[in-house]
Amino acid sequence: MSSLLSKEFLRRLDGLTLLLRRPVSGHLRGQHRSKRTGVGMIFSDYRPYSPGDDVRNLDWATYMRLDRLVLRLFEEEADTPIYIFIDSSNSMLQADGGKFLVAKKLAAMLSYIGLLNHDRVSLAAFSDGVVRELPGRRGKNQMWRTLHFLEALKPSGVTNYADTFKRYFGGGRTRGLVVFISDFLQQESLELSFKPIRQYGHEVFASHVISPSEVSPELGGEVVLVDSETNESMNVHLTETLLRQYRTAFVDHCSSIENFFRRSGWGYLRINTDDNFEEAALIGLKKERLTL
Amino acid sequence: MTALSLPIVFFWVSTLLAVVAVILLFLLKPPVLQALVSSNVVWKQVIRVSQALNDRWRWWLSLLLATLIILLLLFAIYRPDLSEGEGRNKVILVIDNSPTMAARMSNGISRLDMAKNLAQDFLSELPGDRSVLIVDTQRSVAIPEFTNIALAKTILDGIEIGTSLDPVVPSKVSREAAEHRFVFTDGVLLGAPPDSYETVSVFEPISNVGITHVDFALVPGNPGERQAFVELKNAGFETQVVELDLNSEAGESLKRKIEIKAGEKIGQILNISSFSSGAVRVSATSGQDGFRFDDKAFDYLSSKKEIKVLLVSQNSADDKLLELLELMPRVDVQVINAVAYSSTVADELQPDLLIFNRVVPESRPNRPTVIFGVKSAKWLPVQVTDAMSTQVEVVKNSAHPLMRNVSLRDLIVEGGVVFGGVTDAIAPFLSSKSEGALAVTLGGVNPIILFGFDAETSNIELLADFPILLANLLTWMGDEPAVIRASPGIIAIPGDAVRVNGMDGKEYSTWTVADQTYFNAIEAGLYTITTEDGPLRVAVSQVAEKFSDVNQSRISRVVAADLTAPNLSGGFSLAVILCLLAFSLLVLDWTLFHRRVTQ
Repeated sequence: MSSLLSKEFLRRLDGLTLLLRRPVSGHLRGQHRSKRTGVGMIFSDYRPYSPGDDVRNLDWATYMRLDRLVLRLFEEEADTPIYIFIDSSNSMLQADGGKFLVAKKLAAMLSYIGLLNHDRVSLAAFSDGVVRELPGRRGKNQMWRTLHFLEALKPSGVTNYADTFKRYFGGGRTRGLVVFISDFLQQESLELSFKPIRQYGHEVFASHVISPSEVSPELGGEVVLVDSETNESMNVHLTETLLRQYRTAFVDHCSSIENFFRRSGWGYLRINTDDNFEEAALIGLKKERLTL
Repeated sequence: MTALSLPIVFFWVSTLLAVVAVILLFLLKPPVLQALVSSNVVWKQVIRVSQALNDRWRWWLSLLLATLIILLLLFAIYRPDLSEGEGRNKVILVIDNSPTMAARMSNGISRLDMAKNLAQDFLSELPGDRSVLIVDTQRSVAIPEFTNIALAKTILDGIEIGTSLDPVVPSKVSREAAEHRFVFTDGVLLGAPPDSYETVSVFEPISNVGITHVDFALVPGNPGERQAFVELKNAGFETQVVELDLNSEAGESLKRKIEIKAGEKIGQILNISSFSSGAVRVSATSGQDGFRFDDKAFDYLSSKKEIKVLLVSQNSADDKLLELLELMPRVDVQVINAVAYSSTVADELQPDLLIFNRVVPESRPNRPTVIFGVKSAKWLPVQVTDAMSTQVEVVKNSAHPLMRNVSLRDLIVEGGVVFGGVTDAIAPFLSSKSEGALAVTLGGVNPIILFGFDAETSNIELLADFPILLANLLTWMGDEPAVIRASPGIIAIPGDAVRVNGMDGKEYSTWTVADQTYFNAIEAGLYTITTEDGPLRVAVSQVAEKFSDVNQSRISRVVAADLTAPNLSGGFSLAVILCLLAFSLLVLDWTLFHRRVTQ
C-alpha cells in the first residue's frame, strides 16, 4: 500500500483505538468519551424524567419499585481532533534519514488509527514554522491522501517550536490530541515552546526520535563538528573522556525532555531508529496508554 | 655574558635550524576532519563544562612552556654565570706532594706523577676563560695565586716530592673563593681533605718494608761496648725477607736477614763495637718494595777516646766517687785537694772534665765541669737559694740525655741547695716539686753540671744506677757532641754555624734567625756542621712509622690507572643541551596546542 506502512502492519492496527485521558468535546459522533451525555452505550447517571425526554431511556424497573419516572443517562461518544506535528528540520535528515522515516511512519500509524476511529486528523510538517499542512480529515478513505502527504515531505530549515505552535494554534483550534514527533534538538526552552499548547488545554503526546549516532557517536581525534541546521562548526579534540561526557550528557538531555512531558502530565515515547519500528511503536504506545 | 664566545657558525646554524623547525611544525597541521551532526546543542553543553577547566590550565601551561623556551634560549645564547661573583670561573687544585706520594704504583709511575698527569688532563679540558690556582701541601709554591691555564700547567710541572711529614692544605687557599676545588692525594699523610674539596685519589696499595727507627748507644754498664738498634716495619700485605745491612765509613759491614710478616714491626739489636767512629749507613733491602725512601738511614758513631778527669775533693781518702771513676774503663782520673786546686793547675793537667766534690771553685773553670754539693758563688749563672733541711720528693726529667737508662727511683735528698732563676739555657734534670731545681745543666762551650746536693745530704752514690748516670755524664761532657737526628727538610741548629757540609763534601747554604742556624737538608745523609765549639753531626734519615705506612690511606676510593680527570661541563656543551631542551619544549608546546585544530 505504501512504503511507510505494510499491509500486515495495517492489519495489526485495525483493532486499535486511541485513548484520551480526558473526555473530548467533539460534536460529531466518534468513539471517544464525550463531556456530554446522550446516546451511548456506557451508563453515566440517573435524573428525574422531564417531559420531552426520550422515553426509550426511562428506567422501567425503578418506576416499578419506586413509582417514579427516572431517566437513565449514557455517556455520549464523540470524535476528537488529532493534530500530528512532524519535525521536518534538517536535523531529522541525519542517520541517513532514518529519524525522519521513523517520524513519518509513526505519523502514518497514528493517522491511520485516528481515521479508523472517525477522528479528525490534521498533519503539519514544521521546522521554523509550519512548512506543509494537511487540514483535518475524517474517515478511513482519507488515508491515501495522508500517506501521499507524508511521502512528499522533505526536511529543511531549523527547528523552532514556539513560532510553529503560536502560528498554528493562534487561529483557534478545537481542543484535542497533539502528537508531536521530533528529535528535540532545539535551542530554545521546551517550557516556553509548549506554553501555547498548555494554554489551549490540548492533550500532548510526544515522540522522541533518536539515532545511534547521537547516542554514541563513532568519532575521535581532531574533528570539526558541523551543525546540520545552522551550519555552525565546532572544533573539538574528541578524547575518550570527552566522548564519555557526551554520552552522559545526551542521556541527561533525553531524560530532561522526558521529565518535562511527564511533569506536564503528557505522554512520552522514545524511539531509536535502530529499533524494530513496528514492535517498538505498538508496545510503546500501549505502554503509554495511547492505544488500546 | 659569553655570547660572543660561541662559535659563530654554531650560532647561525642553530638559529636557522630552529626557524626552519618552527615553520615546518606549523605547516604540518593535520587535515581537518569534518563531521556533520544533527545538532551541536549537546556538544556545546559538554564542551562548555569540560573546557571551562581545561582552558584555564592549558593557558597557564602554554604560558609556562613559552616562558621556559625563552629562558632556555636566552641561557643558551648568553650563558649567564650564576655562580658566586667572587669565585666565578676560578678553580683551585691542591697537589699532595708529601713524601708518601713518591710510592710507585703498579704502572711504574709514582703517585705524584699520576696526580700531576691527572691534573694536566683536567687543565687541558677546562674552558679557556678559567683561572686556576695550583698549590701543594708542602708549601713549595711560595705565593699561590690564580693564573691562566698555561701558567698553571708550568707550575704543576715544577712540583716535586717534599720532605715534611705534616702536609697541610694551606688555610689561606681554603679561604679563597672558587667555583671548584680539587685535592689530588693518596690520603696517607694528608688524610681526608677538607669537606669543601673534591678528592681525586691516586692511592693504590703497594709493598713496602722500611726502617722506622735507628739508634746507636753504649751498652749500659759496659761503656766499652756499643750497639745499634734498628726497627723495621713491613707495611705491605705479604711476608718479606729483608736484608739488613750496616756499613761504616771505614768499610766495616754487618748484615742480617730477617723475615717480617705483613703488617709486623720488629726491632733488631746489633753489636757494632768493632765499628770505627764515623758515619754509618743502615739499609734494608727486600724483594718487593714500591717505596725506596725509607729503605736507608744514617747515623754517626762518636769516637771512643779516653777521658781525663780531674777530681777536686775535700777528702779524697774516703771518696766513693773516686772509686767509681777509677772503675770506668774510659776514664783516667786524677785527684787533687781543694786547697791545691787552682786554674793554673788545671791548665797544666789538661783534663777533659773537672769534677768538684763538695768544693766550689772561686772562678768559672775554662773546661767542662761537674760540681756536687754546690754552694753559693759569684760566678755561678744560677741563683743558689735556701738550703733544704727536710727530705724532699725528687722528680726526674727523663727526656734529659743524662737520665738515659737511669731511674734514681730510691733517691733521697735531705739537704743541700736549690737553684733559682732557671732560664731556657739552663736545663734541670732533677728537681723537687715543692722546692725547685736540684740538679741542672748549663750548655755552652764549656758545659757545667750542678748538683745542689752531695753524698752527705743524699744517698745518690749508693744507688745502683749512679754509675750509669756518671757514664752518661762523662759521655755528654767529654765525648763529641751528641748526634742530632732529623728528617729531611729545614733543620735548625742552636748557635751560629760556620758552614754545613754533606757526606760528599758539598757545602750547603745556611741562614741564622734568633740564635738558630737553619739549612735545608734535601735528602737523607750525614751532615757535618762546623761551629765555633767544634763539629756537630746531623744524621738526616726519613725514618718514621707514619712515613713507612704508605698504605694507611684515609681515602677509601682506589683509583684505576685509566682514571680520567673530573669533568666540568663546558659552556659550549651546556649551550647545546639548553638548545635541545628548548627545542623539545617547543615540540611539546606545538603538540599540545598548535597542532590541534580544536579550541
